[in-house]
Amino acid sequence: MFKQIRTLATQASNAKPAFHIGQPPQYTLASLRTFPSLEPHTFIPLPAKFFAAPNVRRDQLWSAVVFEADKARMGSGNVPTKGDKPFSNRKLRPQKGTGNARLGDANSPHMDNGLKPFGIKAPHDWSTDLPTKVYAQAMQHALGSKYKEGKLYIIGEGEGVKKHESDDSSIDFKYDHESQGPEFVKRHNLQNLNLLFITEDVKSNLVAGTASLAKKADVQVKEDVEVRDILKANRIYIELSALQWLIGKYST
Amino acid sequence: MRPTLFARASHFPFPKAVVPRYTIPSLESIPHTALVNNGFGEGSYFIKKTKFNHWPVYKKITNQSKITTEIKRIEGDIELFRRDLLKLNPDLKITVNKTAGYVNIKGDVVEEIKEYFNEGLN
Repeated sequence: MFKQIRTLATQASNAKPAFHIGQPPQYTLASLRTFPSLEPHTFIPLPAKFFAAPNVRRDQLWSAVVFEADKARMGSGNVPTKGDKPFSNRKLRPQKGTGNARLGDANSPHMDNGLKPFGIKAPHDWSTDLPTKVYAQAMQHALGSKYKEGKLYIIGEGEGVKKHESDDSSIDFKYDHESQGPEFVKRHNLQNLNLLFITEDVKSNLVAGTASLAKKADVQVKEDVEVRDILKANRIYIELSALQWLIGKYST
Repeated sequence: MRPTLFARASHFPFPKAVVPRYTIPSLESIPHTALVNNGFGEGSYFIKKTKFNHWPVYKKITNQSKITTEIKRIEGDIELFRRDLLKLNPDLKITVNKTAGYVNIKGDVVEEIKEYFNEGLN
């Protein structure tokens, strides 16, 4: 059925085909910093496929964001239908003899009574499906695009990291005080920027310190990070161990 | 779709395997040619074989009648790859998808392309 007659086929030349093969890069470098000074101390190699992909697949980012938004919907919309029977079952007028059309009870959705035929009932599920590999690639492109823009700050412990007394290799403030977050924003000139802190586990001082920044600062544990959070953020501060976990989980 | 309440109540999930973390290699173990500024992509490209050691060249049938040959996993200068293919066989009708790194060729030329790859890419 699919047999093809290639009348224009030409004989391939005997010379060895000349392909221009090169080896794609395997690693890209990122600075390893300490918190809260954000001073860079050393470089770490990161997989180039994850962080330095030449094409950002905006279609996959869109699919992932729609998938997350669908999953987040509560499905609490509720509409009264005929089955709810808000009115009596009494027949409104006799079947015959009035000269008007036949009419049953007041629960009929064709009457002006707020009832809808086939109205949506709570709870219902709006979640959609997305192939795991597409979501993983979207996460790669989201993190990779922030890395390329220089908005990804990796905080962690590595060889040759000499930190100050006030610095730490994990994202947490030393003291539990509400002024810590605004002070961090002021020192690094981050006013009006959306910040995202991704941590290995719950950091209580960080949560308390950034509470007064309201929507401008988001603190997430590594398991809860979504593609939407990464795309929204202007600066991302991530712990090295959390980043290793994300790379391990979302490698394709 | 999320399973029904009954299905969720009667289903005991198997514990998931722990996600292995990415281990960061030491800086000394990496040659400078493995880094991003090694010149790849300008005048060069790369096509990775599948895990079963096959070339990513597939016959694609759409609408039961339109037959094309799809080459996947092309990284780097995809326009140069197209020109190289045209040098080997000027009759090929080639379209390029730069975003996804795919090349589509009109007709079923899977064996021909694989032959070129075996000679030139190995």
